[in-house]
Amino acid sequence: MSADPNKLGIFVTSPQHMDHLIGIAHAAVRAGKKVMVFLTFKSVHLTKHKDFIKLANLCDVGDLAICADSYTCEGYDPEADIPKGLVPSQMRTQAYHGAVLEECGKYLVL
Amino acid sequence: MSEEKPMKILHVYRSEPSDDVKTLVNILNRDREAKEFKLYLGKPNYDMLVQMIFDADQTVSWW
Repeated sequence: MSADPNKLGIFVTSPQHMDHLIGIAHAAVRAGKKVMVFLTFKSVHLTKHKDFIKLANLCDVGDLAICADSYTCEGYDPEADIPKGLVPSQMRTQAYHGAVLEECGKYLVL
Repeated sequence: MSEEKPMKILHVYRSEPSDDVKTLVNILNRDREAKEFKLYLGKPNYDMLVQMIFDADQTVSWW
């Protein structure tokens, strides 16, 4: 699959940039771009942020995922505690990061 | 024969760049057309940032 030049991949590792994440995702959608987001490492704590639902509502189910292993490492249960706004199929592995790199013409780390 | 255009690189800073980061950025910028965006300053213009990301060939996110 070739990367879509109008799709922005956002790889999130930090738990500190929820405002930037929401702001950039909103701006991309306003600009007519597609957004694909993967949260991993400490950033999985953002799933407990009050604004996480805004991000979930911005992205299609296939375009937002969190790393289930990171979620477990940070003390959450990836089966019994699915973040609000997500479905179980959005609890993914690092292979999803590979998909972000493959599908997105543009890429940003937060 | 047309001359090859330089790669457009965008540096996104999540915090104020240290001297080490500035050194690395200077190395990366050689023979490239470079721009930067400071996410850590005030209220960022996200629309401008998205435009800059899509205009650039490559984006580097610094901590």
